[in-house]
Amino acid sequence: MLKDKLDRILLSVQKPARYIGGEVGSVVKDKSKVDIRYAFCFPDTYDIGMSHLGMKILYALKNSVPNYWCERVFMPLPDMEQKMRENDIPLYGLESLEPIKDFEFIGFTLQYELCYTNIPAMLDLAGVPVFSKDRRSLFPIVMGGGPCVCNAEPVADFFDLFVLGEGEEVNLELMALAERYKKNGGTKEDFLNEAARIEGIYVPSLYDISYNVDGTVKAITPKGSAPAKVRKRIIDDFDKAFSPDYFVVPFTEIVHDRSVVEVLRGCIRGCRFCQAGFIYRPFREKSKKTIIDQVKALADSTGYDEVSLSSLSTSDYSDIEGLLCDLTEYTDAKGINLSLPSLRIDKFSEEVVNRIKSVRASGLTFAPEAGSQRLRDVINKNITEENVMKSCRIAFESGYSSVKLYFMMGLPTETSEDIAAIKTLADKITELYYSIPERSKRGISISVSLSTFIPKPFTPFEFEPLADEETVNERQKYLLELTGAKGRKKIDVSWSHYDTTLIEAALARGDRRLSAVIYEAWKSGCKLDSWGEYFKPELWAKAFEKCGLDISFYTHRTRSYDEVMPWSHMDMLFSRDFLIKENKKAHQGITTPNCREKCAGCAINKTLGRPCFHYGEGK
Amino acid sequence: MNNVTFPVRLFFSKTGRAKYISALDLINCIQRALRRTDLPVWHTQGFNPHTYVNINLPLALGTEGFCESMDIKLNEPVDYDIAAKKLDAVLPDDIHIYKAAAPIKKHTEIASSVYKVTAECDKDKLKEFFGRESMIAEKKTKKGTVELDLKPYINITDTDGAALTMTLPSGCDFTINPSLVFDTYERLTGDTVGSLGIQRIRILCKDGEDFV
Repeated sequence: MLKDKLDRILLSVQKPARYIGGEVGSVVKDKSKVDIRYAFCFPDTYDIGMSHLGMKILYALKNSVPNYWCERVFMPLPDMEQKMRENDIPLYGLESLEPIKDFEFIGFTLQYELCYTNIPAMLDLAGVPVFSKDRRSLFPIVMGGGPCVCNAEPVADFFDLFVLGEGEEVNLELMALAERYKKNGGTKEDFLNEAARIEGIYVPSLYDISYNVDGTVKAITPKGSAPAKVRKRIIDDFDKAFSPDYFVVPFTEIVHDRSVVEVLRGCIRGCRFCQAGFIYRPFREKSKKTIIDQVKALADSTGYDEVSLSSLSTSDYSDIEGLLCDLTEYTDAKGINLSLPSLRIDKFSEEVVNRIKSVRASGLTFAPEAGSQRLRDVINKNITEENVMKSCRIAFESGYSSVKLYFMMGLPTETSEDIAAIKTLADKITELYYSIPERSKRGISISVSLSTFIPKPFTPFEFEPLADEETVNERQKYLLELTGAKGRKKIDVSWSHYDTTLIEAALARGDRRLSAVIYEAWKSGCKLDSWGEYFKPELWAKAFEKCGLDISFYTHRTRSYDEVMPWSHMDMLFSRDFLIKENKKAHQGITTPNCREKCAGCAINKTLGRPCFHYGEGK
Repeated sequence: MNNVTFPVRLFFSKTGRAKYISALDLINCIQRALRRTDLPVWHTQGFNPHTYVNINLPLALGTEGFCESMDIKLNEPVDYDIAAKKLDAVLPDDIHIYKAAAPIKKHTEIASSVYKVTAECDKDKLKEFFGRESMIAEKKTKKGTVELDLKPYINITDTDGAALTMTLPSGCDFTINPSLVFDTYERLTGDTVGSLGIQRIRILCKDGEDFV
């Protein structure tokens, strides 16, 4: 039994509690009464994965079926992986402590490109062949879900199938199919062909990819029962979407150690760089009652003293003032902290601002993304300097003294003037601070965080090149020169490293040939690439070289509007013409109003057969 | 404002998977568990109020405990058995409240712990080790590593073949963990301990009585 083996090694690794399960809320079933076992693998560490809401939803959903058992699996850190390999401990589920290679499903959630090497790493540690073609038996079925499935091509060779879109319904349909196959028998081939008929299921082996001489994709040809286009699944009635009334409550500290309730899905904003803003369309909300009931249920079952409302933009909830008023009434009475990430306070009435002052704020953060209004118009980030200033004034008047600003560098059409505008904005905030009599006694602290813009599939910028290293370095240096010399009014600037940006960019818009690169990179020692201390850019460079692929083909090339994208067979329910139209508008510096103001014409309403909003009828 | 509080001592076991929960994480776990009950729990007063939980003698990571205890305070009196049952119902499987009572002794009175230890090692070497005149350990303290002769502190009361029962000093001022004894054994004899199972079975006070 693995438990005995684990007892021998756990005291010699860091934070052993994350490798042993047993937490409140973890589901342990009698396996003699279970037909389908599912290993939910998060390809990152426990601390990261346990903070993820999607995993909590699908975990509770699968376990709500009596004869299905879903367990959690995370990527062990190198100290643990080494001990596991030395002691013949294959990757196991945290609930049963049994090897996942014997489960019917091994499912990965694909949240972030830099987690891709952890997929072969975890499969190998589980004792399962890493390539789909080498797994001949029906089970385990290795599947993937999550946002990165909108272009799963770079990891396609590792997987038997993917779920495109929201998993709340399709996961159970898939497990029911597996249950039938387990009972009646059948081959993996038959299973995959049948699965491909389920809406939202993408079976990569059922598509032939051909390439042009220049390396671009020539055609994507479906085989057998596979549809020409895989249609994204959504839960149209979001108010009725499955939502867990319990979480697994960890013993050790994790990144987001609190209960979380999702208030809405999708986003009305249409920021042109933001993949989430497009792939999670359409915009849907839960009712106020549903949200409050879910907050209460989680508070009771977890004992957390903090709850967070989650969404892409919580301020866009149609009755945000009403929601916050009702919710703070409950949380104040219960002594629960309500945290509201990325809330825009400039739009609120004074009454609401006063009400949410009791909310423990993690600090004041803004993401203008670009320094100048011109560039903000290009990226369609509809936040104005006036918005920022108004929010800052409210915050400074109630005692805040630190502001964090997020910007991107390397955006399409960016010039050094846009960079200088970052400094100007920070200076204006500083001036505002010292002009407010009620300000805190502390000096202002402004931190500016710079990331490099990475073009992603299914955004109007999917055609754009990644900015080259020289340009990005030059502009970082320029900003540092501008901000460096101001004594008391020091602005703290931090930035992302270009080498991780480069790999993320290549993987984001990569094609199927990158599976070989990821395999090579992992074989040569890459894993946990999102962790600075483990990231090895030189090994990645070698892996590309060994596979005969040029990384700049994926990163620095401008795509034409008529190019067949490696992800062209994915149907995200909105039209490609819309992306082209938005791209053209970006280059003209023309903004697009948010979806609630005016329909932007992405055509998702045609797919849904209903309007997203009832225009002209009020809220 | 009601300032009267009712202290409750909760006795619990912490075994199996729960032995990997650190002392700090355990407090967090209990605080959250208390919030899952409707017990009228007292919170510390002040700028940042939190649920009051005091672990009387923290257990080393990896050691199982059968006589652990913690103190909480209630704002209203609650039947001890009911309080124990309510909290036990919302705790993880491997932490079990088996009794609640009024605190009698102060945690500062704790002097030693009795452990049952199963060690996978060379039995003859172990016997020889315990028979030594002195056994100098390298004990890690806040100020660095110090040398310490364990001999006068180890009291072996029972060696029924597989398991040893040993008493070692425990408390606010001075603690020796069984793992230090076996680290020293490995260092001085060159033998390797395969697996080491440690269970705390009693906590004793300076007067020789059980901590209650």
